[in-house]
Amino acid sequence: MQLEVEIEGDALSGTFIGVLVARAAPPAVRFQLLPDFGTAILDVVATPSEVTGTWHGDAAAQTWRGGDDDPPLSPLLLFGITLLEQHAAITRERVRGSERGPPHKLHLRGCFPATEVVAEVKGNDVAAREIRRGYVTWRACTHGDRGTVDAPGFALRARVIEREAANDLDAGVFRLSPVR
Amino acid sequence: MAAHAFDGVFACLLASMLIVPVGALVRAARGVRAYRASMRLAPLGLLTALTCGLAAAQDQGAAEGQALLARMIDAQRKVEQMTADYVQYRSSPLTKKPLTSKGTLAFRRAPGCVVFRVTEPRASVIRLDTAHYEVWHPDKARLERFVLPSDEMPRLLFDALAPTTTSLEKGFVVESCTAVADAATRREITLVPTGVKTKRVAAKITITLDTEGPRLCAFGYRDPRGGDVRVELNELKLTEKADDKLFALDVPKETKVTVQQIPLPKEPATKEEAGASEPTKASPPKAGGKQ
Repeated sequence: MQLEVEIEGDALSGTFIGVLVARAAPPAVRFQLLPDFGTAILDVVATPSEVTGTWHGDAAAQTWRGGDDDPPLSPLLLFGITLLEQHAAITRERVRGSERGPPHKLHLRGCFPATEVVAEVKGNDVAAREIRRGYVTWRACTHGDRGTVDAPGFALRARVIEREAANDLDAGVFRLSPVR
Repeated sequence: MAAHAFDGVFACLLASMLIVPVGALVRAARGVRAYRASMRLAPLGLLTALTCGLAAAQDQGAAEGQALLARMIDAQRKVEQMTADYVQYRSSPLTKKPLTSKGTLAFRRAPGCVVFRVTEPRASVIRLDTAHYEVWHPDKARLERFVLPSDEMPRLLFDALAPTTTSLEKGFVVESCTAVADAATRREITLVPTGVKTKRVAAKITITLDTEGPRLCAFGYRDPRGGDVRVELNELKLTEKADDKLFALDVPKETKVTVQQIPLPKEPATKEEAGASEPTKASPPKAGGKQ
């Protein structure tokens, strides 16, 4: 999937091309953010056990596994958790409770450890997710081919430019390429 | 150069042929067991011959690349400005086909600056000098100015567009020079940076030349994680005097300007970290505020 992404943030602002691949089962996403010229400035891979990524050409990757010794929250983790939630199935095991609406809300255990999600359901779709990790809460909404993410010090607007089914995905696509 | 390549192949073939006669002598002296052992060396000799031949061919390619670059540098010694139509192709492991954009390009040798006026897929103007990377989106009335942590990236690009003898000698090794498929007069020259800082930006750069001239046809680079950029040029025009108006961003007053400092790239603490398999306590980079 290709997206046009606008970001206003303390750590990053600008208009970029986003490239996303997602797998529903087992859940995994990889997302790259590219400027108008040059290679990716942000590259993140997220699975339920690990979010790892680099940006601005860092040779060092940052990795979060949900433990106490994780690095602090960063836009990399925010991208990883948000995209993972948007592409992972809502299974019965994840549901902790519900609130009748409108909007109808499902309280979910997050895909990633130490994360909680409140999903606002419209019909068969999730229109919005409120994601909480520690003291930080952010909101991700989807309206057709458009999406938004609003977090403290970070706002993102995205529009899908191109979407294609990728049934023959190489599993290696969900691993960051090593530095050569 | 062709003679040198032949010398290498010939010497290695001779070496491989000698192994068999030596094996025959051993058979006479020590019996069948020793003969069999010597025959096992024959394929090794052939392999050595092929490897030496390949190395000689690579040396020959590198020499051809150096000679072509030297000719281009000489031909463009007085050139101060380059303009062209361009198409940028960017590959990603996440996409089946490359991401493509196109427009016009202007390059000024001194002070170093390159401006891409993008027409597709969306109109924007990208300006890169030794200290800044700027993107102006006229339709959004927005200018994003990134302050670069070093001049490695722009220098690399400028060296690809207009290499000099000094920049090549100091900063790069010519790795190969290969013929371009379906273009008999074109050669793709691959340069590997020698500086540690430059290697953080690019693992290699490529320069495609038309041997008639020689004239620049394309340039590109591969970042350290394998992402590739290739920019193909058409309608190349070289002039001895730069038109500075081409390199100024004439931005309307109502344009919102954001300024951000790009942090210095972090180095991996371990080999595992470079492969993104070990956790790190590094905190997220903090960028500068908005203007």
